[in-house]
Order: sequence, then C-alpha cells, then structure tokens
Amino acid sequence: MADTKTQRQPDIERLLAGDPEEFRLLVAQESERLFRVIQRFVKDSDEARSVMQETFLQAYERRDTFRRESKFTTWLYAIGINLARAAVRKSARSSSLDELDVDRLQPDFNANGRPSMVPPRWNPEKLVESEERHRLVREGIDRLPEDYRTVVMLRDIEELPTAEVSAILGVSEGAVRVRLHRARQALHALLSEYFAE
Amino acid sequence: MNILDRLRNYFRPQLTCADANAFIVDYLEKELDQDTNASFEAHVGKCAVCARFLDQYSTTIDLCKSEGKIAAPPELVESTLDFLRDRGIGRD
Ligand SMILES: [Zn+2]
Repeated sequence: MADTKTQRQPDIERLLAGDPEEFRLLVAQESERLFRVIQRFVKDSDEARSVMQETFLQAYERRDTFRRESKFTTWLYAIGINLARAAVRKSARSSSLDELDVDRLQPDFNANGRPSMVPPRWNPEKLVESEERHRLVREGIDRLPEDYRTVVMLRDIEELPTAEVSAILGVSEGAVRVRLHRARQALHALLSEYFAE
Repeated sequence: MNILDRLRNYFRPQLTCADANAFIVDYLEKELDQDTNASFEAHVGKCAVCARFLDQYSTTIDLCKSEGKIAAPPELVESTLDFLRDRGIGRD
C-alpha cells in the first residue's frame, strides 16, 4: 500500500456500507494515534496492539450502531478507551495515585486567596538530561488516576479539541476542563520534585 | 490608555491568587470573557507568584506534548490490516 498518511479522509458513507478500501484507509490513518491512546492504559506493547486491533474489529462489526451524532473517529476512540479500560481491569493494574493524592497535589490557598506556598523556580533543561526528562514526564502521567490520565492524554498529548474529548468520554466540556486543570496541577507538583532549583 | 479604560481598570474587581488559579484553563483555552480576561492578565502582570505558576503550568503542558508521546511500533498498520483480513474484513 502506498503512503497512506497523505491520502484523503475515509468517506463515511462508503465506510458504513462496508467498503474495504475505506476501512483500510481508516486503519492506516488512525492506527498510530489509537495505539498511543490505548497504550496509556495497557502498558504492554503487544497487548496494546491487540486491544487496538480488536477496536477496529468491533468498530467494523458494530458500524450499523454508529449514530452519526459525532465524528466516526470520536466513536472509534470511545470504543478503544472502553476496551482498554476493560483490559486494565482484567489485569487489575491500578495507578499509584488516588483522588485524595490528586487533592493533596493541588495548590493551596489561604482564606484571603493567597497561596500558602510560593512555587520554587524551575529549570528542567539545566537540571535534568533530556532522556531523564522524558522518563519523568511519562512516569508522572502514568501515576495519575485513570480519569485524569485520560484527559491529559487526549487533550495535551494528542491535542484533540476539548469538545471532542468531551464527546469521546461522554462528559461535559466543563467536566473535561475541571479534570484537566486538576491533572495538570497534580503533574506540575509531581514534576516539581525534580525540576525545582 | 484613555480615561475610560483607566476608570474601567480602576473599578474592575481585583482577583485573588485563588481566583486567578481557577481561571487558568479557560484563559489558556481563550474562553474567558473580555473583562475577566483583562482582570486575569492584570493580576498575573503584578503577582510574581501567579506569573511563575502560570509559566510552570504552561511548561507542564508543553512537556506533555513533547515528551509524552509513545512511539508506535513499526509495521503497526500492516499487522492490523493482516489481522482484519484474517477475519474477512478489508478484503476486496
Ligand atoms: Zn497571584
């Protein structure tokens, strides 16, 4: 198959009618991103790949249940995230932080609205080698509770618009923003341990 | 700045650091109304603590963008197309 990334978007009507060429195009265009999203839940690369393939399989087989209320890819990602969550539950892997930890990692303000602590200066370039920085950021994201990790992954890493993240997760845009803010602040606090001068 | 803007600034409610913190997401998504946006920028402009926090918060987002992506394995698309073809999907 030729360089598929530069090809046109799949035609939704032909995709839903089961046209193999359109489905191949969808697989070619969405595999990498869908894999990255799923691997945030399912650590093992081979398992992530098999969950991703199962996602395409289910999307194809259930395509007549697609309601056309969202983009087809939004629906595809919702299926992928549900399958990834189910796979994680099966292996009983849980992230190391819980809701209370996330609370504890939020900035604290006194009754006058002043912060109870001044954040220390950061210098991630000078203090940490780039390989190490890469590892610290990934570990920090992985330690977030699942709901928080998911919004960071979709909004900040994959840079999907808030409206689309809201459609994929089936929560309001306001709820996406609240989670995102708490997740970023928790991650900021985790990274501060390493990046503070 | 004309006299009307000066007056408007003078009477604009002052945000606390806690207020400013709660507006960060909407500020970065450019969802604040004009007045709140101006109040936010005025606060961060004169509060070194919030300015530093906003800077580090933005760095955190940038780090997610630049460091958070996991490389997908090679042959991902090909192996997926094979997987689906074995199940009768995607054959011409
Ligand atoms: Zn402040």
